[in-house]
Amino acid sequence: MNAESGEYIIEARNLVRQFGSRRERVTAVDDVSFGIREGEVVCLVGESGCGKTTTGKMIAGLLKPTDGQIIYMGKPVWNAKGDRGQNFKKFRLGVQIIHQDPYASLNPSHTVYKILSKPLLHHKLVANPHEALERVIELLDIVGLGPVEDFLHKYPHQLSGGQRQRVSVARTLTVNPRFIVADEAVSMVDVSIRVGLLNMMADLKRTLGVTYLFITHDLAVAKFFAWEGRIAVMYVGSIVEFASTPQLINNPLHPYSKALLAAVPEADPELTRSKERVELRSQDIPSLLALPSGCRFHPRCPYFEPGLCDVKRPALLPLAVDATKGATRYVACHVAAREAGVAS
Amino acid sequence: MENRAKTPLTVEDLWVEYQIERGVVKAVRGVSFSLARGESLALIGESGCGKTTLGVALIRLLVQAARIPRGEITYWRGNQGIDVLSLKERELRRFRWSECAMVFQSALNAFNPVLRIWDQILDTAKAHGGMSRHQVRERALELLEYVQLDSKRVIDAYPHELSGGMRQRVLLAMSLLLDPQVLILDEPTTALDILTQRTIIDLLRRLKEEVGFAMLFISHDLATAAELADRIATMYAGSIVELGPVDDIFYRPAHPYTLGLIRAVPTVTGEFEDLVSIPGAPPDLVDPPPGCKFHPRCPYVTERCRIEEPKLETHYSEVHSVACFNVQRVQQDTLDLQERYEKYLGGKAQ
Repeated sequence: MNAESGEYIIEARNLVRQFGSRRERVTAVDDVSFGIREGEVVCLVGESGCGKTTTGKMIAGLLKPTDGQIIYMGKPVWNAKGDRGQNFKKFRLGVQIIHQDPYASLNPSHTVYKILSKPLLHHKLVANPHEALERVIELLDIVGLGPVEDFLHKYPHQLSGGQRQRVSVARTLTVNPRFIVADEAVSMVDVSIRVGLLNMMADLKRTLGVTYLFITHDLAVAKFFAWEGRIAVMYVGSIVEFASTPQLINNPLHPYSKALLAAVPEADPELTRSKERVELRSQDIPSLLALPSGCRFHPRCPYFEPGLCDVKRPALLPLAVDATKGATRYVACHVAAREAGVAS
Repeated sequence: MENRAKTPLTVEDLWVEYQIERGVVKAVRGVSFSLARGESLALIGESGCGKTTLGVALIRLLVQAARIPRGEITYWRGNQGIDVLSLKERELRRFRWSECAMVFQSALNAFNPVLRIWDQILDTAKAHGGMSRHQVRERALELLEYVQLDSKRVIDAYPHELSGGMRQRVLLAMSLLLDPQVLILDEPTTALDILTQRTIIDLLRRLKEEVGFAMLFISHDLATAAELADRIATMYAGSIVELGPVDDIFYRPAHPYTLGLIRAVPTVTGEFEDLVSIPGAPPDLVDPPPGCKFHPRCPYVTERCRIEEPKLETHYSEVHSVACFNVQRVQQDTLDLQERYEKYLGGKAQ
């Protein structure tokens, strides 16, 4: 996107990630670019296999892009040879990730105290164990686990799913990150405690100034968490629409976003019954080994135009300016572009 | 007299317990309900509330460590009742699938990975019914078409060759093979992508309307329940705490736990609302709190709730029952939901 790098805390530029052997390669993420401003929340939504987790892992530095670059605070993360740049350590501490499964991401043989004090001592963020304890107590308080003495010496298996995920959040906070990638962070948590977890994470924006890339398959969660931010919709490795949350929810422009919003069941019987459906031409999600020509959504798209959509791949283009936020919305669709009077 | 043919399943005061090292887990505590023909009832609740145990108990597929100390489960065909709890193992095998079929949550694990779909269908038919090989093949192809699959391709495929949504549809088709009266679905759309989920939901709705099953589906997802259920039963700590028509449950909930769930779940295309989570965590079912099991988390709690457990009783209409001493106060806090409902109805009338 054609904005000055300076305004973004993190930027993905033409990210590509391939997997597999030389004989059989799949491109899980294909030319993804976006920028996230400091203090902003960006949600990455899409169905399984669309590349959202791979994108998140590249943003967090856990996966090296096959091609493309990540810019963190104005500096490239990978150098020209594709190795870790000078900026890497600062980037690795500044950008943290929260994984989906709190049962798998916490060491089962460590107590909460050990889980949280280890990174503090390792990175010399505290001078001694006494200071570490003080900081751990502070962190538990921030993530709403109290009374603290009830949790310090517990092992992960003694905690509920929601409590475990709070410990995961506290662990990411040990290194004072400026940016957090949350990958399906609340999907495994029961409904009744999910909102508490989301609100706690949202508070960190205000109190600690954390910026989020929030990855989820759940549109309702995306809407709730990123109401003041933006949503990027991914389909088969690419971003197809990127807009402010209210715009995307109330007036999706890409046919795939439209189909998702029309299909999602709502926790409100009258609302869900009165929804207008979008009929797709096919139910089959294309295989990454045999991608359709042109627009990757064209075999399923109800607005498909032969000779255009199956020939030329649409670029993610700025279509209209969101008057309320001054933010541009981006859509990768020939038909939507034409309707907005933009050449695609 | 109630016409039994219209009510293929009745459950009376059912209890299920598990013996574990720490003691006895009371997973289902005194559950009663009936299921009508052509009706879908959703059991909603969070993990560990006993909903899956209840579903499995209805076809007596409980694990060894479980026992049913009390209760009655009766399937009705015409005026003849089958007392499921007294069936012998051989009779049970006939009963499962032909009276009542259950579709489990994990559509991949339900299949044998080294057998083609056709072999699995044939096995099922052989184990339960008296159809010939040819009849089974015909019926299977017909059912696979019915669930909108390319039947000729799918029937000779291995499970790994099919997507999650396709496998879920194959399971549905298999469950229909012996023409059961009751279909139990455990989390039928969980772990499926939105567009696939939509296909399954639309298919289930069509099945209910065209085949006229009684459907019991178990879900933690309020949206699926809102979409598919005629009636909803909210379960908490092994008991049904509220039972009523879907609109009553969503727009006039009477139990604090049901209300709590509704307030905790955002809609996507509805208005933006602040959400409230339910404080605390579900109780330990080995050593549950005294009185109402929800009282430690309940904002409406009174002294009585701590001592006495409320029974499920009809509330303002014959079809809506709730187990709570403070229904009046709870309902005062649902006025915004009731208003929203009236707005919907008003919008339709115009």
